[in-house]
Amino acid sequence: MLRHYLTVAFRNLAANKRYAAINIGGLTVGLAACLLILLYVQDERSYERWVPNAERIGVVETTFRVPGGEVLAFAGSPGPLKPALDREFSSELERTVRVYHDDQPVRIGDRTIRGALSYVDPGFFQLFDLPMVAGEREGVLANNASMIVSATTARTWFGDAPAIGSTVTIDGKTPFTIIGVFADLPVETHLELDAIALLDPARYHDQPWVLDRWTAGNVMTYALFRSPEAMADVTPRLPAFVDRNVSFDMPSLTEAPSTLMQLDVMPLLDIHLHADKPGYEHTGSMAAVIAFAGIALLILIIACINFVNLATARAMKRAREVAMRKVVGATRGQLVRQHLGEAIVTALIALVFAVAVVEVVLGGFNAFLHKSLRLDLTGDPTLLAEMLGLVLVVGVIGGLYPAVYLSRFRPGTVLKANQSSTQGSSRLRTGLVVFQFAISIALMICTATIYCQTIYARQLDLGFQRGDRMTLGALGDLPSGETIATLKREILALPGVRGASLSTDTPPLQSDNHTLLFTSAAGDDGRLLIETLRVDPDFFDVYGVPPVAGRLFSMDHPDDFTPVADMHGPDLHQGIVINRAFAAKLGYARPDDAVGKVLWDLTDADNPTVRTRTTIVGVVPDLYLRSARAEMTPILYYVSPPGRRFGRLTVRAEPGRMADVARGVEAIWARLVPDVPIRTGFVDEAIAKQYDADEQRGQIFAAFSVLAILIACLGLFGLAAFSAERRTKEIGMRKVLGASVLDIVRLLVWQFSRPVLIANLIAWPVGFYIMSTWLAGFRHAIDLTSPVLLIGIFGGAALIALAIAWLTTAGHAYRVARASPIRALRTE
Amino acid sequence: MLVKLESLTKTYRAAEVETTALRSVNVDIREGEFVAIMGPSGCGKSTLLNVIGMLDAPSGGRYVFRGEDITGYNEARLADLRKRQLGFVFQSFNLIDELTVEGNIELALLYQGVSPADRKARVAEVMSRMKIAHRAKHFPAALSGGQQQRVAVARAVVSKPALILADEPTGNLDSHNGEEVMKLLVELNAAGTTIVMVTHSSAHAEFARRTIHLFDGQVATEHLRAAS
Repeated sequence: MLRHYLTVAFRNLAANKRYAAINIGGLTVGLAACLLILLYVQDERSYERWVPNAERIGVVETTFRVPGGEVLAFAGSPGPLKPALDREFSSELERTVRVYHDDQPVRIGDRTIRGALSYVDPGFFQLFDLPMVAGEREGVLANNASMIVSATTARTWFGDAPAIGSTVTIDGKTPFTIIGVFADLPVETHLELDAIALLDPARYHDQPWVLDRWTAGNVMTYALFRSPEAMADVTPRLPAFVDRNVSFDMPSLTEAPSTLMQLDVMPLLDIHLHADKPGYEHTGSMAAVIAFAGIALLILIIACINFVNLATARAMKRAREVAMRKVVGATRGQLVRQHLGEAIVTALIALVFAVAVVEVVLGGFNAFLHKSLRLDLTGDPTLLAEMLGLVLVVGVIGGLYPAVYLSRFRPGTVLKANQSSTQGSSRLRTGLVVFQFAISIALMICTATIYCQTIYARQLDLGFQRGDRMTLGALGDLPSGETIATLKREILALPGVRGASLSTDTPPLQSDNHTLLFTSAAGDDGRLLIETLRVDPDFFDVYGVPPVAGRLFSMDHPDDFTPVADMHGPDLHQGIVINRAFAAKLGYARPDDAVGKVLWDLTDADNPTVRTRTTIVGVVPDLYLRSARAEMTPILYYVSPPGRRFGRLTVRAEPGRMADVARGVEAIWARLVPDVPIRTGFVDEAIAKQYDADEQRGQIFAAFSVLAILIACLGLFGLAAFSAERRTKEIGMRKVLGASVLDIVRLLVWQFSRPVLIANLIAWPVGFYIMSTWLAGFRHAIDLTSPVLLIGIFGGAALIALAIAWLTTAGHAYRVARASPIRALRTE
Repeated sequence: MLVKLESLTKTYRAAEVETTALRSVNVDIREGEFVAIMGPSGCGKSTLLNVIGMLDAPSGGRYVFRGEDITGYNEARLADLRKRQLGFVFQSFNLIDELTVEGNIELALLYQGVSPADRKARVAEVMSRMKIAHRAKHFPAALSGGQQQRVAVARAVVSKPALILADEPTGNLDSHNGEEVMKLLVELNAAGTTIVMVTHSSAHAEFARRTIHLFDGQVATEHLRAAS
């Protein structure tokens, strides 16, 4: 019986090639899209699974909540956390290790490059079992003079020369010998490990913020729990742990430590899709995963609808077969099974094509997403099972209704006359076409909105000028503050340079520094935790930022630059410039009112008895120094005495002369500090890069929308062909009665325009709702209710859908309309 | 008694209009009979045949088949009876285009769950009897009308039904081929198969032992032909 069904199924497909092509083609595209998304989702969910015991490993994250300040959350944690955890949770924890990532100059032979170095605690390999390709790894954590590097790093550093046995000098002073090379990490990890050496506490005595202070979060602390339950068990006990162990050593912080600092355990396996604190690399987006899975599902539904529509439209062609089978005794169940089986066979054929399509496009998909997805059918039984499950679901969704519909035919009626009685299902078909186009139009609306928002965000006024501005980083590697000053002076003398300014960071800001200020000298009230940025007096000029109140830093006010002893007492004095958000936080409706006001900095870590009296000398606009998506937070800018070092330099070039200036800057650098690798960037590029992920998602969205529309059109094409065929006699009669070709084309095209127009009525509110929700996540979003966008996006989507529907159906309509009425009338 | 219809009615409802196709029809058909049903277009011939063939359910009255009252049977039970007891021949042949001659004939046996070897033997036997064995692997489209109807007859008899229902079996055939098909039916009847045939042709009705004339959904006359 099965063979019989299969034979009939294949003969049916072969006999109706157009129908088969539309069904199989649509399902192929739908299934291929689903497969790609399936691989993508599987990959997104496979992060960190290469780590043994991954389900027992967690990262201890830190959140600081100082009253009056913004909440500061980090993936990192304070250095003293590890020994305290080891002490208190010895029965729950098997091991903890810290990882301190540092970006340092690496001297290899006679050249110096920048290297990403990871210093780790002993026991690191018990958590992260890195396979070695050469040498050994255990010795590296036994002393402070050995290092292992990744295979890629070994090639970058040493080329074809053997890495093992080579010596490199870090930061110009510490020699390391390479004793092993580990295999490159899989792509599916948040870890970035190029070179690994022992985290030696002795090296950080002069940098207490790395390992000794509870107020910093510079190391990653990984904990291997004895069981997943132990991980859940420890989390609620962390506040008490904080109170017992943490001390901030700041007289002004009198609250219980657990109210100021919160520790969370982020399970390793959740990092990729759920981590929301800064400090993790290569994180994904659960929302994107859900959105893509949803789109894939929609595409598949559209393809299934084609199947349903064409199968019911063609039902009369198979009615005789069904009736005859009933006559010879087939039960309804047998007929339903037969037609479901045919649908599943069709889906199975489509799957074979879909696999081929995926194999072809996977390379491009990977390149686009920077992933290494593989379609491994033989080695991954789960994937195979999922694919077959998908085929079954598609077969049942697409085949069930036609199967039930067909099996309902009464042989007595069908066999007697060849009348068309498909009117009953034509309403359903129209409904399904409406649904398909509603999905397509809604996807178009979403795509257009995302695109508009991306453009808007890229061009958003950030409050400062970003074009023609080049940055130089890693100035901390230069030998002295004097060298930095010389560098700036020489660059300023270059032709085409309009200005240069030093600062600890440049937009988009990567660092996050805060200071605690009080509104009274006694420190008893008005506590504020405020972000700070140290700049030189040229900063605002270089970025084209005018003051909105007061003045900017100026050479004419030496007390802006250096906290000097105040004539009224032992306090130091300093001028600061704040942003509007800070003025508002202080309660000044008008920025002018903030000028001249005094705030107190009572927490100089190096000199606890000294108080600094800071005076607001000016207010600048709110600058989006990070991302336009981030909330605008208060910030204060301050300047430091000449000679203090800065991390970055911004060079402003005259329009069109950036290339010359960049060459000049590189020449100066090479002359001044030939041993230090230069690190350059451009402010506008760095800011635009923040939207890369958004844009990438927008492009995927667009691609899948196109697919959805394509499949919907394929279905419409099939229906139009069927309809033209079915209405041949009617059209012949109309022509006999005097209808013109244009009349007929209009008649048939209108038949398919109506569902598309109705689809708009569904798609508009749905698209509007989804996109309004999405835009609500932005600080600065386009206004969907503005007439231009309403007409552009919603009207545009409607027009495109209608135009596509016309193009799809007009061909058939024209062909049928032009045929001779005599021939048309003879078709019955 | 093979078939006993008592006060059988059949009405069709389309939108607001109700049409009565059969009104209070009483018909008895004995085993081994050859009955022809005649009457003008729209008198209910085909409806009667469909009801007897269990393709259509009566709206009222009683239908007793071999002593079994099947009036209220559901579709599954009717399908089961149909495949074991009935064979059909239609005016428009109604062969399945996607199946070969062999496949079409085999279909009934397939649904009866007959073993493949048995199916093969019975199909071969009936094809040779109907003189279409040389066309076994051909699709219906390649056959002449006469050949197609012989295949349809073969399909009807292959499951050795007690009753063959023929709805104008010669309507689409030329006179020569029509005669051939009628001869086949007579042979089958002679071998013991009961036959009920709807026809427009008085000549072909002559092949039957009894002729029922329908008019306006009712049995008008019954005419018994003397045994030859």
